[in-house]
Parts: sequence; structure tokens; C-alpha cells
Amino acid sequence: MSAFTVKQGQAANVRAVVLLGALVAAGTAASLWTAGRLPGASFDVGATTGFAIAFLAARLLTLQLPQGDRVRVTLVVGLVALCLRGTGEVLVAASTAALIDFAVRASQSGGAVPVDRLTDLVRGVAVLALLTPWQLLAHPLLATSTASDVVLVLGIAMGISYAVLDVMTIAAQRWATCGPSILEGAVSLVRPLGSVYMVHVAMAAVTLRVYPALGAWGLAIALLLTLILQNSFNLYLRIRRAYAQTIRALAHAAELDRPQDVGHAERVADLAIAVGREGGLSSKELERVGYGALLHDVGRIGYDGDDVDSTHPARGAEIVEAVPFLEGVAPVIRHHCETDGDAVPQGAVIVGVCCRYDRLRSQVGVQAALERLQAEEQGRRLRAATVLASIVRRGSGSFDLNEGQL
Amino acid sequence: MIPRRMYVLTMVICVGAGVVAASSLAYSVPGGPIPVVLLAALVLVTENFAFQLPVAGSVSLSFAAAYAAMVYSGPAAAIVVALAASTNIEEIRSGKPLVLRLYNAGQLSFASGIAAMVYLSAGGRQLALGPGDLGSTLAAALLAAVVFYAANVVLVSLAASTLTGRSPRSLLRELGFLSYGSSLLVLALLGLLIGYLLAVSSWLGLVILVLPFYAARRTFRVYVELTEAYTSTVRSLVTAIEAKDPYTRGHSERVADYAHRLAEHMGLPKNEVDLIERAALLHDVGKIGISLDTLVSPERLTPDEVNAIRQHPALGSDLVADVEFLSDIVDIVRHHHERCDGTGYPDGLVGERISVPARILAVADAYDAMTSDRAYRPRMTETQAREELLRVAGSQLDGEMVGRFTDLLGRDQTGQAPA
Repeated sequence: MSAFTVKQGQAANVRAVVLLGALVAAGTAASLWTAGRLPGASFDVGATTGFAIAFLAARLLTLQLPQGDRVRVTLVVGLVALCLRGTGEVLVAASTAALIDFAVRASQSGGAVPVDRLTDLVRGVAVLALLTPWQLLAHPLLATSTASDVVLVLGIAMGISYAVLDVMTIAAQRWATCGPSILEGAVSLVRPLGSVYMVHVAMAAVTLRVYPALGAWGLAIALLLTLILQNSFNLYLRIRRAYAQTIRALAHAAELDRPQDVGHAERVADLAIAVGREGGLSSKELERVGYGALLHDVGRIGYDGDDVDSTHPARGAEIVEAVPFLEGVAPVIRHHCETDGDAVPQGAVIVGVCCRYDRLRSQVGVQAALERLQAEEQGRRLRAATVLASIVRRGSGSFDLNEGQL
Repeated sequence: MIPRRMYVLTMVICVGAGVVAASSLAYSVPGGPIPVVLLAALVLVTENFAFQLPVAGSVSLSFAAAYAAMVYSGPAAAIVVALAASTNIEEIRSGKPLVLRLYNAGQLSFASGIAAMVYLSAGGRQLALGPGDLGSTLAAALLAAVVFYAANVVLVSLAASTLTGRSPRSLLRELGFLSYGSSLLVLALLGLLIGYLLAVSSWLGLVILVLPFYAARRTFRVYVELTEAYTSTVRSLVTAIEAKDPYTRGHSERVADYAHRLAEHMGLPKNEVDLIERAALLHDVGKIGISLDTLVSPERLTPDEVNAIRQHPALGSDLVADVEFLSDIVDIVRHHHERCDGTGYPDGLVGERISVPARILAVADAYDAMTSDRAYRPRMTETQAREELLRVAGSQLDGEMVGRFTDLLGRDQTGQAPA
């Protein structure tokens, strides 16, 4: 494979392959076990094609997460397929759709295929295979009690397990390619994806409920509504990304006339987010820390008086206060140069320490900078410096600095 | 002031709605009153949170409920729910004239009543009587949605043209009734699902179905707010960053205003006007990187310094290219210093090869540069600047656009004269 885009070390590579192998093995075992117990195994080509088309339609709308990766959620189709069709039919339909989608995208990008796209495809089918044991419960239930709300409860229970498995496996894959820990990864996915999964689960449950009356039309209508609702989440994520990238670009532009500073704000933002995450800040606070770090020196622009070191935080905070989108960011900027104090928010402490570290690092190098930092600081700043040191030592080079979590 | 014709129109539509309501009594109301009352209550709640669908346009979720009532139990139920839908507490509180609220109630009940009758006579079946044949039900439901759409659009634009005195045709075009139609179709599908859930009396299903719509509505509202605030956010950030140079302070903001007005004056569509405004706000973002000394130097610049300044459109477009949302303005920023005779920079494009937005931006930029102080010269008066614009029209700047721009400036002056 020519376009094997793996930036990380060999260990991460092995980890990813082992993980994928384990997923596939578990999925195969689960689906074989189910298929052996599910009565009336037959293969309907028409229904399988129909579901393959539905899977393909659901794959069309990709969600781009704030972190930059693209995710395809096909839960509504997968869940309905599991409940209505045999094990083999479901897996064939899902993998056919995934392969067609993959082939189309590969041909569009001129044959270069990122390897993570391929592993994600395998992961999606493996998750579906892992869920097939639900069929042993769902099929008899749907055969006997179609006209009761038990079907809704079943659909929601299945949907929740589907969503959890989906999120956990995506997070595990990220961990394998040396991202954050699985739990952290899962939590950071829940915020942008939670509502999307809710839409899918609700629509799947309703489709099952009206299936006796509406049949395949019910699935078509539910799929259309799901995609439209999902699109509103997509638009929302897109505009958030636009803000994040715009602020990043402007922070970058503001640094260009101070060559020694180029990239400083961005490095501080990436470090500060890592430290804040380790320190258990909420995602809202993390976001403020990120923007605060990007803009912490904005008060320096166009001002070269002698007191610039002491006055730029207040000037920067004033600039940011005028922007409604950056609500809550001003205190981070205002206090980032203060040593400690009750009025200093945790975000400002973190940004201040990371800023100091980045300046020291450019003068004396990584190790000496970490040592100086831990000797100089005290109180909350020292605690933040300790966390920073452990992050830098543990992961030097292991996280992509250009992949901020904004 | 509401024209007298509007009162006549309201009377007519109310009588029409009354006739439709009276004839709806000829149909049975299967399923009993409880589902209808509950739908009406649901609508009263949702109608007070205007619902927007990402397809565009603002459509109230209550159409889905009225539609559900129609497929579930027929015309009378549809009219009851439509009446509930037209009771908007916010409108009553804000003192919207009674006649307009009456007209709205009348046209909504008229349209839903007619649509429901069409549904039944086209072979649709009241779902409260059991599912029936799926094919004919779907076909009739689709027809009913089209009838509702047509009646609603005609009646709304009739009232709007009576109120504003403009032709219904131009209103139709402006109000975006096509996207309204697609939103309506989506809501009709939702209504159909609700109708089927009612038919299998699954109240839990109804709640589960409405929940994601509620969540999506909230998300979409935040999205709209953020989108509207985007330009102003960029504006305040750029203004703050630009403050470093006393000579160009406020420049981007003023250029954005000129460019916005020129684009509007030239009749460009709204999204393109927004695009040009954003490009204008960011057109000098590449200058932030040029050292202050060069920018404010009163002496003649050295060739190196000239070269540095000439880099700014390309540098700016590189910076903007990092923002996926701004991909459409990258080229505008890059080409705002191109000249129609091909002597501009950085690419030396000629005439029509320079995009319309870039040419608009060039005019606005030149005018603001001439009418503000520079380190090496004082500002020109507006008349001098206009003459200068006309002098370079055709060589440096696009002739037609300069003409339109001086038009606009002339209009400003005559507008200001009496005051």
C-alpha cells in the first residue's frame, strides 16, 4: 500500500493491527454463534440489496468532528437491519455498502487511500457483527408482539448498546494510533456525537414500531428524516470549526511581525489543552483555555511601549471581551501573567505556565526548561508545571500539535 | 397602516374557512377527540418556539401535527390543529394586529381543510380506521401536501402583496418558496410517521420521535446565531489587530462597508455580498506580518520593502486558506491588487480574468486608501478621490465598477445635502 500514512512509531502500528484483529475475531465469533442459533436462515437478495442501498445513503453524510476526523454513523439502518433480516444478510449489506463507499472515495482521491479509512470500514462491520446476538432476542419478539411498545424499549436498548460499542471502538482505535486514553477519547466523542446517536436510536425505534404498517417505506422516511436532522448537527459542527480555524489563523497572522514568536500561540494552545484535559477541566473550560492560549498575546500587537510585558494581558482581555463568541476567555488572558491568587482562574494558570515553558524551551531546550520551570514556580502554577512536565516527557512528539482539540 | 383591502381579504378568507369547516363536519371523526386534543396541545407548545429546518426557511413544527391529524382522523381534526397552530402567544403579546392574526388562522384552516378533503377523495384513508392500502395512502398523502403547499403559498403571498403593495410574483421569488416547499415535504413525512404512531396508539413512540426534532431545533438555532455573528466576530478581531498601524486603523472595516454597498448596488445575490464583505474584512490580513517600520515609513521605500509589501495579498490568502469555511474568499484576497491592464500583483491577471468580487474589492480598497492619511501624503478630498478613480478606470480599476461606485458616492452626497 503506497499511501500508508502512519506518522507514529512501529509500536502504535502493532497495537492498531492487534486491536483490529481482535475486533474482527470477536465479531466473527459472535455472528457465527448467532447465525447457528437463529431459526429460518435464508438469503433474500432483494432485501439485502435494499439494505445495502440504505447503508450507502446513510454513509453519504459524513460528520466531521472538531478534532478533524470524519465519522460515519449508520446506526439507524444497522439496527433496523439487525431486527428484520438474518445475520448473513445484514453483514453482507453493510460490507457491500462500505466497500462501494470506500472504492468511490478512493477513485476520487486518485487511488491514494489512507489506511485509517480502511480500518474504520472494518471496524464498522465488526461492530455490527458484535451486535448480532441481539437478533436472538429481537427476532422472536418482533414475530410475536409487533403491536406493543415493547418494540420501542427493545429498539432503544439495542440502540444504546450499539452507540456505546461504536464510540468505544472508535476511541480504542484512536488510542491504538497513540491518541488519548480510551475513556478520554470516548468522552471527547460523546459531546459532538451524542445528539447524532440520539437521533439515530430514536428513529430506529420508531421505524421498528411502525414497520408492520409502513414496511420499507417507514425505513426510507426515517432515514431521510435522520439525515436531515443529522445535517443540522453537521452545520453546527462546521461553524464551530470555522470559528476555531479563523481565530487560529488570526492569532498566527498577528505573530508574523515578531519572527521569534511565530508558532508560539499555537504551541501554547496545544500544550495548555493537554494540561487542562489531564487536570480534569470540563470541555467548555478546555475550549476557553484553547482560545485564551491562542490569543494570550493579542494585547502586544501594535504596542511596543516599555511596559508591554505588564500591560498586554489587560489590553488583550479588553479586545476579547468585545467578542460574544469568546465569552469567558477574557479572564484567562487577563490573569495569565499572574503568579497566583484567588481571582486567577485555573485556565489562566495553565496558559501562563505553558507560555513560560515555551519561551524557556526556545532559549534553553526541553529538559532544562522543564527543570527551570519546576524550580521557579510554586502553588497552583507548580502543580500545572508538574503535569506539563509529565505530558512533555511521556509524549514528546506523540501528539500531533496541529490537531488541537478546539 | 393596514390597507382596507386587507380587511376585505380577511373577511373573505374567514368565510371560506368557515365553509370548509362546515363541510368538514360531513366527514366522520374516527379515533375520538383525545388524540386531536393532544395534538392541538402539542402544537400550542411548539408553535411558541418557531421551528427551523436545516433545509432552509422557517417552518413551524405544527404543520407536521396538523398533517398528522389529517391523515389520522380527517378534515375536522386538521382544522382544529391548524387553529391551535395559529394561536401564537408571542404574537398576541407583541400586539400583532388582530386582522393579521385572523387572516393567518383563516388561511391555515382553509388550506388544511381543503388538503384533508383532497386526501380523502384521492383514496387516502383515515389511519384511525386501520392502516389500509399503503400505496394509495402514500399517494394521497403526497397530493394533500402539494395542495396544502399551493393554497398556503398563494394565500400568504396574496396578503403580503396587499400589505406591501408589491406584485405577488416578485414576493414569491424573494420569499424562497422552493426551499419552503422542501421543508414542508420533510414535515409532511414527519406528520405521516406521527399519524401512523397514533394509529398504533403508541404515545411513547410519539415522544421518542419528537425528542430528536427538539434537539435538532436547538442545535440549528445556535448554528444560525453563530453564522450570523461570524462576520461581526471577524470584524472585531481584525479591527483589534489592525489597531497597530495608526494610518490604516479602521481601514478594513471601512473597505468592508464600501465593498458591501457596491456589491449590493450591483445587484449581486446576498450570499455573494456576504462573501465580498468577509473578503474585504480580511483582505489585508497579510499586512499584519509586515513590520511596522515599513508600513509607516514616510520616506521612499527601498526595493526590498516594496517587495515585502507586494507579498501581502499572497501571504493573506495563504493565511485565509487555513480556514475551511473561508475557502471561497482565498482568491479574492489574493487578487485584490491585480489591475485590469495586467500590471498588478501577484499574478498579473488581466481584465475579466480577475474575478468580479476581487474587482469590487479593488475599487473599495483604492477609494479608502486615497481618502485616508498616509505617512507619505495627506488624504485627498472625496471629490479628488472620485476624479482619481475615474482617471484610472479602465486601466487600473474596472471601468463599469468605478462608474457604479461613483454613482453610489454621488447618491450619498445628494442624500446628505439637505441634512
